[in-house]
Amino acid sequence: MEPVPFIGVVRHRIGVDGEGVTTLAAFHGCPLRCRYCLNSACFGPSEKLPRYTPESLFEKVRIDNLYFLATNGGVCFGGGEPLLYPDFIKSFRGLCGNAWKLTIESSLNVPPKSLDTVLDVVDDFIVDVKDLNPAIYKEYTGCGNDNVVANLQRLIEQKGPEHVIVRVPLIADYNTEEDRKATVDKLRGWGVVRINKFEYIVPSKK
Amino acid sequence: MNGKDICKELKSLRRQIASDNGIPLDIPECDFKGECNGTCPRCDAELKSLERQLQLRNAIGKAAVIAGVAFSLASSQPVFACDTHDSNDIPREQCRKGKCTLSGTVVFSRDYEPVWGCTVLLKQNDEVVATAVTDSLGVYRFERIKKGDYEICFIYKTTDIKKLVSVEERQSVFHAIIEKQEPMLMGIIPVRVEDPEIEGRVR
Repeated sequence: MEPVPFIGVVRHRIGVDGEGVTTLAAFHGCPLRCRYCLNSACFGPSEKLPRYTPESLFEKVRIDNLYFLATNGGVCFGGGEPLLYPDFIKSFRGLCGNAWKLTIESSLNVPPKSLDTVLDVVDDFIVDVKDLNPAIYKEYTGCGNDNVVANLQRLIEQKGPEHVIVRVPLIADYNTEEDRKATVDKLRGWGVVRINKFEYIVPSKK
Repeated sequence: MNGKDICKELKSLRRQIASDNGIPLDIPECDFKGECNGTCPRCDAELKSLERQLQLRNAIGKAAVIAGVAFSLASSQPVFACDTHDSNDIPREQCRKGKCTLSGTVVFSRDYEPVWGCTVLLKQNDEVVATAVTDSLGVYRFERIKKGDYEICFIYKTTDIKKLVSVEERQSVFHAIIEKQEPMLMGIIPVRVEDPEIEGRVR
């Protein structure tokens, strides 16, 4: 497999990407263009970014194997959008075996086939849905959210709600508390039980 | 959580893992005063050493206990790291026509530390067919040997262990545990030079 660009690999995250000690591997590339994106490097030029194959990434992160085993931690794939590289993640699972927990932080705004590739090899999903109102979603991200809705419903059905955390932000200038409540209500109707409400940091305007 | 908090948490994990597996691990308190990410080369070196110790225990059949669960850790070190060479007096054809591999690990009985520099002789019909020396991980390896019965001899300082092994499979493994020996006297010993001619040259 050709090496793919990463915007960073960060060790020793504790309790941030779910349970245990985790290493975050953040892919380059994202289909969204969120107005307040904190990782704008993920859709900038990638020439100077480090590149890894599943093998070289495994060699890099395996130093923390004992911490992963001791705390039920592992590797969290984020970015950017990790589901742009489903085959990479599947290969990585083949290398690390079943003892490590693999988590994905995703917008789920990808073709259904991309999610299907990783359903059996990823343990937990953290999904930032922005807002389930299609108009608000489009205005904030520049994209439609049909794939998000379909993928999230399939994810709950296939993995079970205990393996899915949905993050619902309050986005200044784009949605309100009422909009956020409507999103939460819709999610509960789909069987989502782990919901994390929070507020986006607005980058300071220059 | 700042870097110091992370470091403290990880240190606590290393201590717990070492304690659960009976591995002596003396972790000095960190005296670094500046900002850190939660790890440093010394912490990473301790982590690697701990994992290596657990792999050695696995190699001789003991499970690694982590968070109360027994694990079998896949070795992250190459098995071919040892120095393998033939005796110059033995024709190469005798020992190099086979397709089997015999390898293993030699450790001390007291703490399962690897034995570095143990000579390993492979004998057949009282003749040495191959020799090896264990590497820093205590690993030895014989390649391209024929199936059959051998005597394997481990020679380390005053220890001489002989065992019969039967190489049947393509990859055979045989480990050895030897008693840790007290270190030999080493150092600078003062001597008096009695020869007057030498005394003259020293002046």
